[in-house]
Amino acid sequence: MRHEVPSRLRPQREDPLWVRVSLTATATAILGLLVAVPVANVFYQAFAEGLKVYWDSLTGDPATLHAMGLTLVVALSAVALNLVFGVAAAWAIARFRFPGRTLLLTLIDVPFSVSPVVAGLVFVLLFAAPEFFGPWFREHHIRVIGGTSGLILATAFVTLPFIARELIPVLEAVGPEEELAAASLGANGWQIFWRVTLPNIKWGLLYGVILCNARAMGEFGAVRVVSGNIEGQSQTLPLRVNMLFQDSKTAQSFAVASLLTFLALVTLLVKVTLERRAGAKAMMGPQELAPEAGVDQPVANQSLMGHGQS
Amino acid sequence: MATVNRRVLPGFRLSLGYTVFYLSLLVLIPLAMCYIQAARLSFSDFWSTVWTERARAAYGLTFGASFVSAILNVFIGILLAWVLVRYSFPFKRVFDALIDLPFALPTAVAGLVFANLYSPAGWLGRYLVPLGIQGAYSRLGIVLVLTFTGLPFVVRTVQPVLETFDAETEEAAATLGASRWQIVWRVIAPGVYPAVITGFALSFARAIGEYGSVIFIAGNRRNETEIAPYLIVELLDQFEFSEATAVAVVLLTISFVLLALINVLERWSKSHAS
Amino acid sequence: MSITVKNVTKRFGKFVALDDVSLEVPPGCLLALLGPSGSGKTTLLRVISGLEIPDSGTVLHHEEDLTNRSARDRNFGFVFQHYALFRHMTVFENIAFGLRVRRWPNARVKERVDELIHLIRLEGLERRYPSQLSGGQRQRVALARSLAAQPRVLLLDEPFGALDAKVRIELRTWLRRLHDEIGVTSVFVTHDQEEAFEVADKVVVMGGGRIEQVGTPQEVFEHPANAFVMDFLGNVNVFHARVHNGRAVLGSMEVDWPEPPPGGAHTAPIYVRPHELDIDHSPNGSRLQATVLHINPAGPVVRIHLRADGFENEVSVEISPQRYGELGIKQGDTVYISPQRVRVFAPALDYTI
Repeated sequence: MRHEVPSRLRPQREDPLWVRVSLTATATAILGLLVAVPVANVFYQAFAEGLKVYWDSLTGDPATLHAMGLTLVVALSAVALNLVFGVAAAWAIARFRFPGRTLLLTLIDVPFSVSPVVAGLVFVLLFAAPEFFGPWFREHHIRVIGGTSGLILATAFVTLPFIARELIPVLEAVGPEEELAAASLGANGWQIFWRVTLPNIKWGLLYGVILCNARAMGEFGAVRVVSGNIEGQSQTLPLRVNMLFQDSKTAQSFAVASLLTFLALVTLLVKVTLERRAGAKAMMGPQELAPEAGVDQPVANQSLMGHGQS
Repeated sequence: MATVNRRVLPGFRLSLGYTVFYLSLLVLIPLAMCYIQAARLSFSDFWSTVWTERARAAYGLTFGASFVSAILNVFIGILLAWVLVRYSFPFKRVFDALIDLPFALPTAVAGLVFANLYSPAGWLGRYLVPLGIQGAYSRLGIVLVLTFTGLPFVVRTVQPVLETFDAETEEAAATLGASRWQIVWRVIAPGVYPAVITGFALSFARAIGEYGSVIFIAGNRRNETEIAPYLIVELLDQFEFSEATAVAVVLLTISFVLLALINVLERWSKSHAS
Repeated sequence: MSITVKNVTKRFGKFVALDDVSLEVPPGCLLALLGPSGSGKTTLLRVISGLEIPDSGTVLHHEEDLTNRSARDRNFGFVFQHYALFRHMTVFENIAFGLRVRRWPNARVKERVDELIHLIRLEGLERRYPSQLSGGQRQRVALARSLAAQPRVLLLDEPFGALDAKVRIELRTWLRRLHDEIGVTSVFVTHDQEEAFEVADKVVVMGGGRIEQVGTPQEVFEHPANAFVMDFLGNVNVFHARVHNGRAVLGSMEVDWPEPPPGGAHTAPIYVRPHELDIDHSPNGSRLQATVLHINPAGPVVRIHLRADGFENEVSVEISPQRYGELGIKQGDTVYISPQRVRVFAPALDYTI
């Protein structure tokens, strides 16, 4: 059904010019107002009191520095946990058929639909409420609530689906033929995974990890509940933004926010780059290597169905 | 061959085992705990907790604002998807990337910047407040920020469906005598509306659970601008575990119902498409 | 025997892909599994390779029971229809893969891979990636890759199915020559009869999950075991001839037919190949009268489509261009045809005249 002229261009001749212009203008205006303006404002407000104040907010405030460190630790740990899970789940789901497969897929989506506050609450219950595991953890000197492990668990919960949901369609699109060929050539499981599977999914994996990381670092609701929100001790960057805002330290608050916004922009940049790669591959001559569906679709598009941190 | 014999490719038991183990530990057991804790309350206690005036106000606000924002996102989403799929214009890639920004941006930042923008001194507030439009510390603010965070959902659900309509279908309709408007209404719309409904459900579900962005801009006044998640956090801060859990159970159950509904919708919309 | 398949059955859900199939593949033989889609030929190949495990039955290699051994442990080379080359590896690394997983030392790997690259005539292309090769080149790399670790058996799943006609024919000849050079027992799957006949030592005709006939190309073509085989291999005309007193008559030919007729049928299906029908202008005895519907003169044989009196199906006849020139027939002419050779498949009868 493809023509020499990409069909996407042809409808332009169908819609009258005034329709096209007005619709595009309205869309741009809405997008600008709703998205672009806020982003610009973040950076504007961050630098509103000058470069020195900006720099000091980020490097001169020990609580903020601590928050950066804590955010890094928590986010990277959560990503690491979910990476292993994501790969395992994608392998099981994409390569095999078994009873309960659909149920498993739905379960993976659960963290997306649960409010992060509830997610945080659930872990508080598990570890702090006296009836459950609280005493056991206290005995073993593991501070879960307010401690880093609680933050990691709550963040891992909320970002659990990202890597798995990114990898499953990628693995399905790549198909098992190469892995079967490797098996017929005598390779064992790990050899197949490292030499054949991994190189084929690396871009999807990279994007999944980066997205998961961005969401983990930006997680607010769950972390707010689980952490004690103690300045200099159990605050992550989003909590820091909140505290600074409540203390009316606007410029500092925006300075920290600008860091997080920058991270978001980098994530988007990676996505656009990966899409361009996937698009370039689609145009590279006769290929039986990947079925059209997998190559035409942007790597990242599918993962954007889901819920975010709050 | 899509189906692969599990004795041919290795790692089935290992990968499935770990997946189930991890999910149980991180998802199933914790969520079950929530219900178990709530079950400790007698039914009347449970009911009196989740049905206080304050709680009702919170539900009303949460669902109301989420609903309105989801509806707004439907219209905005269709417009954006339409323009994205069918027209070409400069900076289209920037346009496309901006749509995903609310998805990648931390909600705290979203809340912060919206509160700032619409406050009387803000870039937008300075024009809107004199007109009587109170963006910050109001319900309008809540709707605005929920519309922001839910923006990508309708767009990204509708976009792939719109892309399947190539020029041939419309040309066929035109040769049969349909006007431009009729083509949109009779050919394109029926194909797209399942995706629209799915996108609406996703946007709605997302908005219900939203916390981080809302609390900056809402003002969080009890019975007025307090959303349900905020209520839960307040109760927790006061160590009222049971009450917090009860309200959480309400939200959780609604989340599951919505999840099931969305799955059904997605399946329906896929079968509709083929 | 090199490979023995005994009473193998394989089901996919309700669909029976292989129904109690048994086969022996002699060592060094190049064997073709031929049949329409759904006949089970690919499933049989995959069962032999270990990519499918049968529900019942055994697979033996030189008396060794391989049935439950996975593909990884059989050391059978497998060439996939769509090559399944490792897209992120060069041609060299693709071919070397089987050796690397067996931890061969680098020097030996290079030696063997170079040998194979020379064999498949792709010198100079070692550093290329699969996406930079043509379809025919990719298939050759896939072949070399499967041969690298010196498999005991080579299995090919419709190896030329994804290629252009001309490349297909080239590679066909090349495969035959390769087999003659190396001599490894090979089994390949195809739905193309011409390909099977040109390449294979032996042909196995399959249908509906069963083996219908095994034999050399000439055997199965000249002496088809049943109507299915005859119909699948090449064109065939089916005449439903009337039965009288235990004889079915077709023109000047008469065939025995069982009395009482099977299923109470009053007509017997008689099979005649298009090139085994003669055309003439004069009736000359008991020839069948027919009207010329359409003539296709282009090609190595001239194909004439006729309607024979008394039979509803169209009849197609093949004659040489020379004979066509001699006859000088045109569309609409009345001519007379007579079968030179017919086949009848009837229970307890099954013979050829």
